[in-house]
Amino acid sequence: MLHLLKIEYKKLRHYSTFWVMLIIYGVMVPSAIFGFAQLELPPLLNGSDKLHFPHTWNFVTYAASIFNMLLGILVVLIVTNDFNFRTFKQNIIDGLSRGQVITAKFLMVFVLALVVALYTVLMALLFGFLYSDEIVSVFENFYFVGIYFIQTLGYFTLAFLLAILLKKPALSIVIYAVLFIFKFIFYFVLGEIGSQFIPMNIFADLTPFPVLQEQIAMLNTEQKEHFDLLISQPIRTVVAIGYITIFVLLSGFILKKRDL
Amino acid sequence: MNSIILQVNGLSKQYKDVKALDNLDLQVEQGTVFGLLGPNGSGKTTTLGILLGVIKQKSGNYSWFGNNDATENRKKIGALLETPNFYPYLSAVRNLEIVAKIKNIDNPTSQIESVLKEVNLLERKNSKFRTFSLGMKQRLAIASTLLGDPEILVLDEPTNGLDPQGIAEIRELILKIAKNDKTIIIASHILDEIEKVCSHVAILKFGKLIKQGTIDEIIGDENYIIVASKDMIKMTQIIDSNENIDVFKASERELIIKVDKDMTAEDVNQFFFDKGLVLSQLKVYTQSLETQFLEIIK
Repeated sequence: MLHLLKIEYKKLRHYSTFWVMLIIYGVMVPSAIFGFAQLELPPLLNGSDKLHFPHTWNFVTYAASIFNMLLGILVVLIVTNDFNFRTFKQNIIDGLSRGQVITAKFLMVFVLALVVALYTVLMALLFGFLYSDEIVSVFENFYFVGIYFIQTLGYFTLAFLLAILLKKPALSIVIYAVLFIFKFIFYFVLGEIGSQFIPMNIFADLTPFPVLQEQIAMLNTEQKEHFDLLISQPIRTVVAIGYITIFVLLSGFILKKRDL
Repeated sequence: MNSIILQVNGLSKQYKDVKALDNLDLQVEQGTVFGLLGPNGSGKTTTLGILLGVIKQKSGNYSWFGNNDATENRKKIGALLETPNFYPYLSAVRNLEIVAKIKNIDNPTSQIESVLKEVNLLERKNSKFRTFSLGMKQRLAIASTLLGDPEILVLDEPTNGLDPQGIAEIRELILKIAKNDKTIIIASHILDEIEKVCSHVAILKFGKLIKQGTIDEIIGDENYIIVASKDMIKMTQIIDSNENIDVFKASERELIIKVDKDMTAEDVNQFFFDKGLVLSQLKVYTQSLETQFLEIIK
């Protein structure tokens, strides 16, 4: 496992696009957290209250999650590169099995998701300590980080599958973006409940818009109905893990069957 | 007899409605330089692609080192298939480090230096692959096949994109490696290349094996001689009436005739003289793999 990861890292270590995108991500995340925190939007918490522990975890993961799609593009690139340069083929000729080639790639994506989750934890702690008046219940709601990791992995494995399926970087990125931009279409096709189950929504809703339960309670009945229709977080998490498993297995299956 | 290092049984491959490979059987003995010959689209690259695990066969099987199609086999094979495949943003050395890592070569630095030296790329070892010319890319791919001192080299069109000097260097390199009891499999349509380095050849056409044997077996038992005379009609008559001589190729001014192996140019001269014909031209036609190849794939 570590051997495969080392091979993958050798490919990325001197790939400047990889580092540039990570740096953009690293800068954008805290900027977005800070920017969002300034917004005064009921029924959100007021201003920088959003950054108080334990709301931090929900808010920071929500604000950071948008940029996971950016890193999804990076995932597309690091997978399609090996088709483009015909190095998947060469890696196999040189002595890896098809299973090892796909495992190596998936491990790299998994590690990237871990790094992203860790970075987000750091950001949450940083903003939490900066903005909280009193340091209490720091790790309450910490589970958001776990869910956030699953979400990141979800975005990444979807990008991974598209890249394996389409092999071309531009096409894969366009379809990846279109899936997210036009996911509202599924609302009209599948209805309010059904559309929540498409992978893009399952993943996106894992880090929900930071609204407090107390505030939901204050809504009128009509507004409440909308929230009642939402599928619950545990179900969402299970479905998300299901999708991730399917995406990974499907990617492996495709690469094993195909001529390279 | 040497042991069989590669055994191929009934390999077939279908691309939609094209039969790329049809029930191919091959045997390669250890220590031979084996040429895979055939016109474009005859199935050479498809064959090597299957043997190297990147193309799935429809039916049939193969075995390297008597160890079937195990992934581990390929770590002991240095292979170049179709094109040099490297990461364009990495230097020659870093690209080879990845190959070394895949092949489980510990401390590859000195080995990488030596294979780069072998193909004259040492001065450019830190240049990015994308800055290389076609010939340099090809040479890096050949350097890569030498990593780990593999038992077998598989080279698909190894002199592609090389200049005459480069071609000669690679030929020298192949012959040098072959001396150390290594097995080398070369696919090419450049017959001259095959003839100069190979001990055995297999000829493919439309995915079928047409002929397999040593170079001598393929080139055959006949001598070819160019003859001409003032009276070409009489000459043709003489040849027609004798069963030991055949016309191989005819033109207005001269004939290339096919005679038994033990019949020398001197014998041919005497033969025509005895029949009352004086030759105006007599030359031994250098029998090449090319003549034979063109004959076989007709």
